[in-house]
Amino acid sequence: MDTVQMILHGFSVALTLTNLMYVFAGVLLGTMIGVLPGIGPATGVALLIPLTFNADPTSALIMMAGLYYGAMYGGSTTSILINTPGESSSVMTAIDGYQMARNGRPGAALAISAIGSFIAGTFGVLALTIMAVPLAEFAIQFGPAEYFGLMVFALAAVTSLSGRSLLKGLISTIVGLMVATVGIDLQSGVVRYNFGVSALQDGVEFLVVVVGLFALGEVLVSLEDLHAGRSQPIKLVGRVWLTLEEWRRSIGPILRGSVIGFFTGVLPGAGGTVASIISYTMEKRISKRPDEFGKGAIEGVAGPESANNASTAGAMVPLLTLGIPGSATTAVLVGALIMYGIQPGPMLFQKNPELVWGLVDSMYIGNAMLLILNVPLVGLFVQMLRIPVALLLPMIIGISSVGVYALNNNVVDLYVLVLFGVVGYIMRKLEVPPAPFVLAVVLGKILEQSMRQALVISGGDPSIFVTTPIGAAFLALAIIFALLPLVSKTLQSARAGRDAEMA
Amino acid sequence: MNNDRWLSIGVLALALWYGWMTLSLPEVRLGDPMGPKYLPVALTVSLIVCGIVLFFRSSPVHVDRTVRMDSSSLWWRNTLLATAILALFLLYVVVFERLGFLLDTFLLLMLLFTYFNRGRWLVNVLTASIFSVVTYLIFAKLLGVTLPPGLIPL
Repeated sequence: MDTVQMILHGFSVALTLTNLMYVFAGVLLGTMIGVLPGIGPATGVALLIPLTFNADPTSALIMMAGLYYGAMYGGSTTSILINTPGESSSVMTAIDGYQMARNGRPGAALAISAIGSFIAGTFGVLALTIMAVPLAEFAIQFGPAEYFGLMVFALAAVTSLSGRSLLKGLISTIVGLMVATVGIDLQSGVVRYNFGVSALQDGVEFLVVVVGLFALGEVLVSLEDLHAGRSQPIKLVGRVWLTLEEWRRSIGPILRGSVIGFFTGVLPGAGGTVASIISYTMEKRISKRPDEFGKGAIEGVAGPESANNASTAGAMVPLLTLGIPGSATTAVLVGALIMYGIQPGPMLFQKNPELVWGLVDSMYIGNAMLLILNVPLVGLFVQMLRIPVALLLPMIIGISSVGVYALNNNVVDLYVLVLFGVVGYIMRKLEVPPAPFVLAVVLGKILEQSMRQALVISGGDPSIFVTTPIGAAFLALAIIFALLPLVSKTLQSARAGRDAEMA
Repeated sequence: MNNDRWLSIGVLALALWYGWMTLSLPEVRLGDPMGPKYLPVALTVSLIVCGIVLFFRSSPVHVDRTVRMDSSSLWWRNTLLATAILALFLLYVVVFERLGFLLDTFLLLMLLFTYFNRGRWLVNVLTASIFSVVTYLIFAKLLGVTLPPGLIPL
């Protein structure tokens, strides 16, 4: 079958009644998780894994992806109405979105978020559809040395872009890699670091790490903040729609946001939050009325909201074509693939074309569903903000534990969950970014395998990593990315010094 | 001491512990130039370097000027709260198989609700029971997961 036929065949997978239900359930849950502050898409997808054990892997993935991009839609609602981002990627939306709502245009702000998200999301899926096959075909020639380079690059990018401190990102990555070394070493059969616990022989379950780190960690921090209370949402008055003038002002930011968002999403480490910040900064810079930004400029909502949505489609590009996740949420998706016994990587397009194209095509459908959920039906989700957080958060603890126990019917997993809950909490308190940790846990085993396989091929000569051109290019990129924060810091302090001299 | 210094000490302790366990790993090289010890050793060394750098870059005293005066008592309150919740959750895990999923989960939720959603007894009891029963039904009946029955014969 040629590619076009494959793509069309994907629709026949995505449009079955069962899969339509899975898309709908995914985007609905995504919107809900987006609206609720405190739970992010990574947690949401992780908690979904045990619920989809019995499902077909394609359906399960369709639902998890739906939750991921659905959360981007929902996150803006909370930003606009209570000035608290529902997701970190909606942080820029709060600036002008909340002001628009206060100026009596909450409906317009919500409408442009959803419409921008829809246009950008669809653009992103289209770009994903076009780029996926050539990229996968290119990646198929990768040997272990190239893969090693690629994984080091992904880890370096996530490490350097995910937090304020490079050092803490690095610590997070290294400890994550250490966790990945627990269990049987696939090449020698040696059991490492299992503390005599037979349940740890196959390694630490990745799901347990994610649920502990994200779900428990987030719940604990949110419970602490509970006493601070929450501001009342702004009443949604008028229709959720736009004036002609608002349309005219938004279309440029939406299109630019789509492109920025998609390519930021493709890049490992960047993702929705970075995409929305770039889009906001750019719109403010090129605007003829930059002074309106921060006071309710619709461009400041349209751009970032489009960007964070396009980024989710962009993030699917390395995930599907290379099997390399670039963020916490996509790492969870890769982990889910592995749990279903599907080997992520470029071979996916040849071995499981139904899964890939069913998933990609379901994203067109999911975005259309989200437009309906988030424009005419947005009022329903606003009601969710009335659910007391004091009831919601403990229930997440309950769902986490039953989900983790369901994995192996083994109470050992629950003890490991407690441990990673503690780790997640400490990391948040000490500002150590959790995303590199999760990525390292997911990639660790494959990273070590490809490194050692490459060395077996070369007979122990480490120069194999730099003599293959693609592998060397990835390692060079990794170094550039690792040094990026240092360079920008130096530039900033140089600029600050110059400004001080001028003053 | 400030947070970063605590972190550096914790990181160093972890690195030493991991490194010590690595030493006892056997040296197996079945046509594999690296063997199972190589990467762990590299990780240990890297983590030690990170820990040392962080130790010397962090200042020994708390210098965060953005934090207000009352932050210290708030910090203690929050840490205590989180520790209590984690301890409660650990207890939940310890008695999980003995009490059974339904009763254990109900009790955990009731305790948390009673503290965080104070005074609303009816809502709390209803939410805790409905949540426990519904999750039990979803996992045990729909998904076929064997949850420990414990004290409640089902």
